[in-house]
Amino acid sequence: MIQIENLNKSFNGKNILNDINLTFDDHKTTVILGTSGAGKSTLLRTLNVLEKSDHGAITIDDAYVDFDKNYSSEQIRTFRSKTSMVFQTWNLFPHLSVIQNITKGPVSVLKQDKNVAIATAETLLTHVGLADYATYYPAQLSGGQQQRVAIARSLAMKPSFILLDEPTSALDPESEANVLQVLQMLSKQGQSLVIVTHNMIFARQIADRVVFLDGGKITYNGDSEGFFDSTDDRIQRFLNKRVVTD
Amino acid sequence: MWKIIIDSLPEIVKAGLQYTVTLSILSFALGLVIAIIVALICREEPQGNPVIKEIWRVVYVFLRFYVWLFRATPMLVQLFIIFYGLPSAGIEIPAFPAAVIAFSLNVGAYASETVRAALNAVPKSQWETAQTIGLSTRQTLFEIIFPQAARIALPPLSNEFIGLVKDTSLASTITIVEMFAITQQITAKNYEPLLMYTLVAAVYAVFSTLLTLLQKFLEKRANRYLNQTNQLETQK
Ligand SMILES: Nc1ncnc2c1ncn2[C@@H]1O[C@H](COP(=O)(O)OP(=O)(O)OP(=O)(O)O)[C@@H](O)[C@H]1O
Ligand SMILES: [Mg+2]
Repeated sequence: MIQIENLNKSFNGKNILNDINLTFDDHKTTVILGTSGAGKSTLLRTLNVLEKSDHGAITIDDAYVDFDKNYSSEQIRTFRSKTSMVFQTWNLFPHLSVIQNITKGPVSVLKQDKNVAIATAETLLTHVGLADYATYYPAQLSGGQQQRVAIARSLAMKPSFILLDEPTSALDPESEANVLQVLQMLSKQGQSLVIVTHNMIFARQIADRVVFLDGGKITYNGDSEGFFDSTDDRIQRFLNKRVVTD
Repeated sequence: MWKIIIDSLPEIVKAGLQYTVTLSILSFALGLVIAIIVALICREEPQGNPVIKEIWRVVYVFLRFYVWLFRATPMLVQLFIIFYGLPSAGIEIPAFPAAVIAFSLNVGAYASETVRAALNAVPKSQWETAQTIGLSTRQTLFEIIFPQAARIALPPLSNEFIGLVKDTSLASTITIVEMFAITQQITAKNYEPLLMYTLVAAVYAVFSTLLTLLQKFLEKRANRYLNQTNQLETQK
């Protein structure tokens, strides 16, 4: 479980995350929605300590970071190992083959035996539909294939949560469909996911829970139906605008 | 004419292998280490501890001064200061080490800029991705950043190396009997300056050309993961 308490973050004096209190449940898929600039990426990056928050604390399983206190780099490493991040683009190491990308973390960080790591990676590649691509380099893959490798690499680290920041917004519709299918599968298998997306149809399909961020504040936090059927003015406006623009 | 060439070529090539090649390789390797250290230190201010920050600032100013100094003055003058000048200050350095020091400090100053640019050219997201996976700073540098930066830095560094090979002829001015010095000595005996200096020029040209070929090969290798079509063909 991820538990966020009183998280505050500002950039150059501008408040971006405003006293966020939030829990993400295990084996559930939480979708974070919100307008551009609402602070979705910042929130996700803070969960991985890529951004250091000004105040507040985050607990993930038995690891925690309190941003008001000092923390060691060892503590951060343990904390980070609980989650794994998939970005919008440029996830893969271009100089490493697909299989090396996936086994890098397990071998170098988790100190897994290399052959074990390779066997696991091959299974994961099969799951994401890329069994034949182990020896390819990222530049030889389509954007969608690259994202599926990135997801496989996340899974190889056996994190409690996978955090995905607009994993399909740089993709063409067909590639997007392939990636979304993989995420659906993981969601059904009970992998805990936190997804930031602008794809409302997908959000509706996959979300167990929706968190709606607006100007750095949480204005909705509850089940998926409740959000999409909400009569709240701001949510209505957000959803309507989406329907028109997307 | 052929007799003169056949007589003197082995001596020139031998001096080349003994001094030009060793001086170049040694100085370049040391210079590259200096360049990487300078580039890494100057790259960004450390976070946190104010004492470390203060030390960093002093080191930073010193390193910038070093880079400026060696780029702003001729290599020949640097060589003379180290070999002929320093003994007056009580520091005596034999000719070969003196040349290595001068050349590697020179390479370090120039290549540090190349290395810095190459490190900056690796996208920030590569650092972040490595971090999220949990790689340590050291692992990130050696396994993720350096391999990518090396590809970017390879062409300019190769050029600097080829330049260095030619510049080692300056070592003749501080008593090192490398290719150029030996040619001068032979010329003093056989009075064939045109022939002899053309000959040594040809040997330098051969060395440089071999290095250019090596550079092409290395670039091809380093770029192989970016070259889609090539790779696909070899795999299928
Ligand atoms: N490193 C940074 N320095 C300064 N401001 C930043 C930085 N990162 C984000 N911001 C600001 O924080 C706000 C929230 O950014 P964030 O990327 O979290 O939004 P988002 O909800 O992910 O938006 P989008 O949907 O466009 O991705 C924005 O106003 C942005 O300009
Ligand atoms: Mg974002």
